[in-house]
Amino acid sequence: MPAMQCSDFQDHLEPWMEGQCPPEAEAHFRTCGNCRGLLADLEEIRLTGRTLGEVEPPPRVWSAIREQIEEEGLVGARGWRNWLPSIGMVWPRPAVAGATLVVLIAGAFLLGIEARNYNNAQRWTQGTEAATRPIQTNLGNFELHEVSALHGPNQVVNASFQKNLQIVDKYIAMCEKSVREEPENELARDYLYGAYQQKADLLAEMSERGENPQ
Amino acid sequence: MNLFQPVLGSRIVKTTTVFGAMLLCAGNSVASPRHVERRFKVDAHPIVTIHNPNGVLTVKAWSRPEVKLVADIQSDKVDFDAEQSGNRVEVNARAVSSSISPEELRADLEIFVPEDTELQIHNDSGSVDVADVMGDMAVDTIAAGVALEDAAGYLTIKTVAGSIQCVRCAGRLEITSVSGNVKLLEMRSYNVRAQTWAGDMFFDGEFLPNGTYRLKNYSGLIEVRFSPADSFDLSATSVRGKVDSQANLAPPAHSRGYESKFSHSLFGVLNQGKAKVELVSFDGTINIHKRD
Repeated sequence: MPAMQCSDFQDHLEPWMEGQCPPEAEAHFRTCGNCRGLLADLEEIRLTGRTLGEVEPPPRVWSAIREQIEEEGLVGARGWRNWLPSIGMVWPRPAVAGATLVVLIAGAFLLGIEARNYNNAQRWTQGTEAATRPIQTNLGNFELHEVSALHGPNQVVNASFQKNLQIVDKYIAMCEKSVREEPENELARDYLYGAYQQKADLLAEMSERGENPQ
Repeated sequence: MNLFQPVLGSRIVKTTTVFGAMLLCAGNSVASPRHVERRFKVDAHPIVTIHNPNGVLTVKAWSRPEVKLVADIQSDKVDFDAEQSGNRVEVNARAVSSSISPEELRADLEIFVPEDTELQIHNDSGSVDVADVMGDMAVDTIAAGVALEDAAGYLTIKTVAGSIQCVRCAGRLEITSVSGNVKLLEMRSYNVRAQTWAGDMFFDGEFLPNGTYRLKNYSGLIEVRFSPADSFDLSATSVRGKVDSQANLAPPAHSRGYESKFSHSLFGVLNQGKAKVELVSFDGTINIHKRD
């Protein structure tokens, strides 16, 4: 029987994280540094999530992203990505820190893991694009939801949110361009991840103001 | 927690002004400014929380063991209340109408607090000025600029567009903004982490031994002033912009994180390298210049 490859091992991630370790996966795990690193990262994400109990965003933030993730079909997708939505199922909801954190963790996770597994520029590009596309889509849909709901009484605040959302979008576009041009530029990818994080924060803040206008 | 719910056994002072009821009584709606003054006796290390959608907020420390609040509310479309529960004072201004102009939404607040007060401030637009308060502080604004003077403790400032200025701040400082400028003057902080996406950043202060100073932006200028006697280990990286240093740096002992062919970087040690200084930009220029 041929030895298990990394792509096969990734199909076993979800049961593995639940304590089910088939012998062939265990054999691959013992010999593959990349997959050991991947599991270490996932474990760290899970442990970190458990310490984030005090960060609870408005329920509709969670609902909106969750719906979008499901609509995107990521729940049923094949490969290691199908493990991602189950992070939210395994963790208690407060510990996940809501949709924002799911997106952020997924972003960091995707960028980091994809980066580790690709060795040349073309594959870096493909990996990063594949990794960021779902985040981008979810944030975009969430944005539509939040921007349309932005009707708080403070017009200065509304205008500021709109303007700064455009600023962050501009930086996301510029970071994506940089990553495409220089796929191995770690700092550019770091900025891209940071820009997504900033956008998620901004949308969460808008959501909070929408629910609880001052 | 319901702020309006009486708590048995605790001292509660509450002033709530509900103008809807007043309007009903008056039978005639006339928007008029209000002036409110309240005082609250507090013990050591009180906590003061302020929520204000729009207006000028000024907080000053004084030597009395009490919190004094002076508020000028511009219209009756703003519900305003201040209450005390134990050693905590909560001040809340809130719009009661969705059709309200920025001027009608405005409430200017002047608050005097003991020096060791912990402050939690949410002031969406307008401005926030805090002076001489030594307790921990969390300031959260959208468009309001924030100015801290002679502050200490654990200081967290978050804005979307508001600029941030800290003068003679000590302790630990964390700043995040999307498009606000950041200006840090005469600093005595041992830990500074500041990030803005589209703002200029300026740091002029002491680099304390074992201190950590990290400034990061996407675009805009990052400028740090130093004196030749300072001791720091510098890492400055800009992906697209320039790095210009007037510091006579010795080569670093170890290679650094973002040293790559894709960036303009400068790494080095001034004197013993006791403080750690990290400056990162994507598109902006980084200047490390001698203090005049």
